[in-house]
Amino acid sequence: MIVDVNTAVGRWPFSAAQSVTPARLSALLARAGVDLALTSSLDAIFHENPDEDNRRLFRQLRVYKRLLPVPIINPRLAAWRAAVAEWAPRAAAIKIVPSYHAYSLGGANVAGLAAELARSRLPLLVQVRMEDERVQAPALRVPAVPVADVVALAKRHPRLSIVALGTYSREAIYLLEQSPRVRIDVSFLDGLDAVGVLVRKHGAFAGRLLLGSHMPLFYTQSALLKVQTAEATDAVRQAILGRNARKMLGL
Amino acid sequence: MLLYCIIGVASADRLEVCTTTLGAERKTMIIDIHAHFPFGEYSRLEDLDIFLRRARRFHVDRICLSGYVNRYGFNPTARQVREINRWTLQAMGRHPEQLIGFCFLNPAVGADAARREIDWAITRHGFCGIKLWVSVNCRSRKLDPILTAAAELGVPVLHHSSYNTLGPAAPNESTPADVADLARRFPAVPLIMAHLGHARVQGITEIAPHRNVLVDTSGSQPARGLLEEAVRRLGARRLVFGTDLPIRDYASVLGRLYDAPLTGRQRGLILGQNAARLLRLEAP
Ligand SMILES: [Zn+2]
Repeated sequence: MIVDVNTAVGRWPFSAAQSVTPARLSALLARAGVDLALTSSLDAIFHENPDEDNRRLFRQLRVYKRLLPVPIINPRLAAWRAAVAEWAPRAAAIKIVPSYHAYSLGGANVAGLAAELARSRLPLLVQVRMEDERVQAPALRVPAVPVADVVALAKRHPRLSIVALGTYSREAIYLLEQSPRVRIDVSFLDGLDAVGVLVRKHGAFAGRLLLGSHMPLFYTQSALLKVQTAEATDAVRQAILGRNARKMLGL
Repeated sequence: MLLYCIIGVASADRLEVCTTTLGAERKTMIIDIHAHFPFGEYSRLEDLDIFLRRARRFHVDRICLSGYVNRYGFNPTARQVREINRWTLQAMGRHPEQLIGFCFLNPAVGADAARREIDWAITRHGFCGIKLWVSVNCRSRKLDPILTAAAELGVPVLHHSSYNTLGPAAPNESTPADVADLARRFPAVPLIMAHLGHARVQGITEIAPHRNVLVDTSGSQPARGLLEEAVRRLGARRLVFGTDLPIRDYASVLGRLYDAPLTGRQRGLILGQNAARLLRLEAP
């Protein structure tokens, strides 16, 4: 079973690609052989209060068994607890986009959210970046979340399951070395056989790598090929393609 | 040589990359027009085996080596340029059937030194193209003798190019608009503008009127939609498969080519036929 932990529906305004509906996303992922995907709303990234976007996401995804809705929570809003209470019972994970909702991972509300998710055993997906900063629209530059902040968050909440989405290879190595439990996705990893290189650097890293395509911003095949062609054992590649994610999600 | 569809779904355990053909797609040679060896941690000649193993995994037949361009900073001396090209020659000597040399040049070292390097690499040692990076912006007339030699010898020039929102990576870095200027000055020289991923739609638009410019598929992340947009605006004959290996990987760049909604004919042109034409290789 192949699980993609990093997908979304909607339109990314800076992308040459068209808007992707849930039906289209499901069909494209099916064609690529992805059985299950964690899916968020791109609109929710641009709205300070993503409640309506999350509601629409849950409503739209109901008929697509392949797509598991992942709400985006903005812990900077006073109502974040209500949002978690609303979605936690129905969500496989919660996502945050600190750079787009303009807060750091060090704040009190993030601590509260982290504690709450650790208690309810829900993974927290931290979107480290959405784009290569070098190709962002000149007037709309959004910096990446410093991975040192993810390390610090993980240290403060040792029982919270954290997935950092969108790290570059050098950030990934730092994160995997500094935080023994944080997981990462492969979407932004690059360089010759990036996945194989990480796994050979430290065998234990293999259990913390997850297939994440960053679809619809990125082509799904790029992420799949990184894992499928990694110089590693079949067991390791199977784990990264799906087993690690299933374990994390309790599936 | 290969049958070039890579679709992850097809195999039973979904680990193996399937190499069956899709309907209209034909056999084609795959040529990576843009790679660097030695480079960074891949500095020993034996490390070349890692590159070739990776290429085999993706059915890539030929790799063009542009040299260890940043080994001596942005502005290498003539002697350092020769050393870089000598490493390329060493690699070519080890795998002559697979590796193709691009002669790295620094226009700042002067016309005579550049000409000596071109004679040594292209005329004497069979390099098939010229690589220019960031030492001199390509609007400079310092490039003129090099482009004149390229026209005379009939070899393509692979030129670095980028739009970088964070600012230029080097003081004289060329943008697609600069490459368009070079193309206008030398319409008879085939130019390969590196990094579609950094040109973005703006850069594609700028070089579009200059039919002697092709764009390689490397650069940045596998941003969905960009490749098909480039094909729509330029035509598939003006794109060439290039990775920037080992900075980027075949997984990322071929993933773009296999995922984008292109026809088999378009894919074949981009994967190898356009490059074979430019490099005057035997048709597969
Ligand atoms: Zn390069």
